[in-house]
Amino acid sequence: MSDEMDEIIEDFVTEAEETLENIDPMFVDLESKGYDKDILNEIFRGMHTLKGAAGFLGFQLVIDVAHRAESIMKMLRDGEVDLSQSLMDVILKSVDTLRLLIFHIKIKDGVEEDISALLVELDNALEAATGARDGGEPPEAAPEPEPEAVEEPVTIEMADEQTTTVEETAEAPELSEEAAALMAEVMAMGDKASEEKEEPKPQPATAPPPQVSKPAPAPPPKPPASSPRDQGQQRPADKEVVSTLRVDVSRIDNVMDYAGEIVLARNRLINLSSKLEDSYSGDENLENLIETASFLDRVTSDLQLAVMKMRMQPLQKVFGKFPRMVRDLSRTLGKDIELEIFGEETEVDKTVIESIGDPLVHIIRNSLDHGLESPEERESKGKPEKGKIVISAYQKGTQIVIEILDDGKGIDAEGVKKKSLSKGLITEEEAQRMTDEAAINLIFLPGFSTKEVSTELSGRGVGMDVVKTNVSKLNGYVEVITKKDMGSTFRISLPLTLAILQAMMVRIGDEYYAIPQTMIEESLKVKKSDIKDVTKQKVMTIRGKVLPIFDMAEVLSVARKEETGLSERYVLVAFVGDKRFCISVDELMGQEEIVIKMIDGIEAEECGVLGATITGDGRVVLILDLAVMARGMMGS
Amino acid sequence: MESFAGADEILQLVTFTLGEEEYAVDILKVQEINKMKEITRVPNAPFFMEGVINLRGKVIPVINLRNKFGLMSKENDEASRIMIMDIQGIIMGLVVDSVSEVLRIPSSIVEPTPPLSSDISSEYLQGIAKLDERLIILLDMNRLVGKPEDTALIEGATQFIEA
Repeated sequence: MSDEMDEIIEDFVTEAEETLENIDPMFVDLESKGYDKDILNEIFRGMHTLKGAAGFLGFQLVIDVAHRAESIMKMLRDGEVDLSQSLMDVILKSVDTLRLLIFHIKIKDGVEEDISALLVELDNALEAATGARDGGEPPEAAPEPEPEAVEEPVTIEMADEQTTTVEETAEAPELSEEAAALMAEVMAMGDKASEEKEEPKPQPATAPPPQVSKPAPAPPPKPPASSPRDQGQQRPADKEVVSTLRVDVSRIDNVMDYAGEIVLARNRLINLSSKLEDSYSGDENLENLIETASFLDRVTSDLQLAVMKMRMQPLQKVFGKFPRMVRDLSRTLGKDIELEIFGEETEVDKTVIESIGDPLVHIIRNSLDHGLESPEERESKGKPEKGKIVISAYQKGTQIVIEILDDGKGIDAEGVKKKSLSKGLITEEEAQRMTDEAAINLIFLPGFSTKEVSTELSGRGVGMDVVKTNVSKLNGYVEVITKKDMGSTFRISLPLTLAILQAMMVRIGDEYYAIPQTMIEESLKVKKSDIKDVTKQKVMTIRGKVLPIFDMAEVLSVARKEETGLSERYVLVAFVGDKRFCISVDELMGQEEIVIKMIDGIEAEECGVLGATITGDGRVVLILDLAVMARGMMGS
Repeated sequence: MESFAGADEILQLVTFTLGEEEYAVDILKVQEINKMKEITRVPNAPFFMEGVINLRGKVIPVINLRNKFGLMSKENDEASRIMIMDIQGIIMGLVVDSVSEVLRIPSSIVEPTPPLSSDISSEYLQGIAKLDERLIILLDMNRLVGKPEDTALIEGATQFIEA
């Protein structure tokens, strides 16, 4: 029984989190647009649903907050009060509090936040707003809590009733059905509200009771629940319930693993059939085998894509919190900033969603704090007073690109150099020789911070190096493009999926390795005489730049018979982070799409490998992590 | 197989050899025993790490027990086996000289490791079973991975004292 209850609560938490997540950007939108009935209605509906669901489960604190916020939203929507800064702040505060309350419910720590101060604040705000408007309004707020009080015992009773008839129906759909019904109700209400101004007042007052009484008859037969509703309205809601499915991530990961196995089996099969083709060509059975293998090949590719898509989520999940963040931060900093977001519908792997949030927050904070100037400074430079930050995401080939652009003062290369010098990150000599491009990349070094005084937001010397580490953990890279007084752009490029990798297969001695294509800039064949010795370090000139070159056989301590009389070497130009270097191998075997396998039980990082893959003939090939190896070869 | 009347607890073990010595591990830890197959070397790995193998699509590390125990290394041959074991949730392969048999013995014939043992491998020992003329060394596989050598040593010592 408690399991069933847990499940209901879990569903509630997920739904509530989603609702709050959706509400957040709407507020910011609202702030910029001023009065917008649709948005207000949307927020009101969200609050209402939340309150309803919380009431059903008896989370009194959530009800208390949501109810008051809802009341304010309702008045805003109906134009009874004007949207003021203070009103906005208090509602945003209640959204934050709701999030906290939901969090406590989620982790089941039983902590009850003290929300009395907020409640008073909400009540005051409501009173102040209504008082300013019209003396007759306050009673409206007062009677409403009462039906709430009645509502509670009823819902508890209902919960009992539901748990006794557990086998019959899953509770989750019931809950959302109720929510859907509520939504329809609210929607209908909203429509009416527009007709007459005085009308909506009594309506919401009577609304809560039907909300309670409706689910009660709902559990036994379904029709009564839908019959009073408009049929046309009910049906699409039903359909929506079945068209999406919440699935435990571990299940999808399982499918993903199996799909990976099939890919490997397919590779083997294709390998085998092509070998057979050499010796038994013309055999009818063999023809069939080859045909089947190539069919399997196609299906497997489709399967792989389908499974990958299951793990894809829109970037909106991450971007959604930025409008609010930018709003709050720009307020604290006394800057006027406009945020534009493009391509939030771009889908990326779940792992990317989970780990890209922090780096993006760091970059945005940095742009707000260090990049964009104060309104006065902007004015004196002849720029529009309002600063701008543009976040955009798009797919480019097999890469996902996320750009954060600001029209601030740009990064001052000389300033960065000076700072790095004083922090001892570089030497005087290095600073002299350094190009501006290289200097700007110094901001990614751990312990770098350009602002004299640390602010609350950024400038603790952590941040940009975190950006770099997190992004390279995802096999991606960061670039900075900056121009004085024009602004800076941070461009993050990430692979579309983390499970499959484009890699260059190479041979070193008798061993084979895979090198991720993202780390390779180009591959060339060079004469041995092109490689020069400069104080023990071998170097090569590539397109006018002198780059260090490392013999992979030495780095990986491959036991190798002396390659006799080889006058030519294969060289890969690697570009990892800000380091560019060459590695030499014995042979390039070509590009391949490989499935990454993690190896449990070895310190992959220490060994300089990302993981392993299994080739068509069943052999294990290690995937080299050039980023780690570069650290070992060149020092950090 | 011998039977022991009045034995308190029966241990089921898999025995294998390394050089002249006979070792045993709890049968429940052993998932399967494979013939030698191609092992891919892992660069810069600890010396006892033989490499990684493909176990039905999973890539698992393989440890050379001779090297791990500080014995003379020897070329793998026809008799060599890779024992696939689950050690604290990590699937690993162990290269041994040969696998002998499955043994059932009462726990009463297991004696604690003699304290004079100067062998490096003593930290992994659980005890010694005396069976007729045979001396079988029982290994505690959990000590084989996950812990730095020194702490394992200390813990090994304390456990011995407690025992």
